[in-house]
Amino acid sequence: MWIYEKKLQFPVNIKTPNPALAKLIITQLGGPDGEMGASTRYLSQRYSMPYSEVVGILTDVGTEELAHQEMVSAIVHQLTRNLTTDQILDGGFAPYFVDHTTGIYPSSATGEPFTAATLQSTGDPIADLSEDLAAEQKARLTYDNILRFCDDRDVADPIRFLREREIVHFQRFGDGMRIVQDALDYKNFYAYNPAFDKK
Amino acid sequence: MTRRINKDVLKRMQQLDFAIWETALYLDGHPENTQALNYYKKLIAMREDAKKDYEANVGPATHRDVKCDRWTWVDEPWPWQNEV
Ligand SMILES: [Fe+2]
Repeated sequence: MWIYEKKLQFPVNIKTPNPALAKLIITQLGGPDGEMGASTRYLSQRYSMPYSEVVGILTDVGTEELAHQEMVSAIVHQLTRNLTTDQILDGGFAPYFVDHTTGIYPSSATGEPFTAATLQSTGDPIADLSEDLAAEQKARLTYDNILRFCDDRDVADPIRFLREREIVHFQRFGDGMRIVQDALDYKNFYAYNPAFDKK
Repeated sequence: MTRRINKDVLKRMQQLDFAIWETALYLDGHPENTQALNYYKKLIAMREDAKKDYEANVGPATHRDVKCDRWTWVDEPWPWQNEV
């Protein structure tokens, strides 16, 4: 089970609203490579993972992604405080605003609601970890793209932190892949699925 | 590594934690209720007492509770792995 800890993993203190930027950053909450998908993916994949160390990695990274959802939500919230209707219109924020006002709704930059259709839980350790490695790179590049539009340090600092975490998670899933492969036959890693087939 | 867990000690902690949880939920909507707050504090004290027994007979509840000279956090079983 989980217990909530009442603090952010990294501070978020934004003074200047920027609804146009908020509309881009929300994608890292509910978009195709966002934090909600990340935590759902890793926490779902744990049950079929036969190697305990890798269950630990999936649990701890999946839990950290929950904390990242909170950070991304805090950034979007602080970027959309005290908006005038002119700021809403000029920032291209009006379509989001009519549906959600300034509430936090998990969606992509193009407005698609969060969907589990962008993630997989295959029940095959090598396939799952390959997906996880790719997911971390996709999240990293999305943060890189967001940073192209961040001239406010108050926004860029926590986004850079989140970007860095994707690189660390990629490394840790690499450890997981090594653990899985060490447990299998190096001549043919795909001879059987250790999560399903009897050897 | 696989560790044998004491199911009675586990169940005792689940009961305590559920009581704590339920009381916290109530207190969220009634933060001025001293009777509920005192009950909450009593449960937390009971949990403190039960913690050593839990860690010795079940394992670390969070990775911050690892006290061994080995990373027992990744010992089996995980909570969904029951014996059949
Ligand atoms: Fe990540």
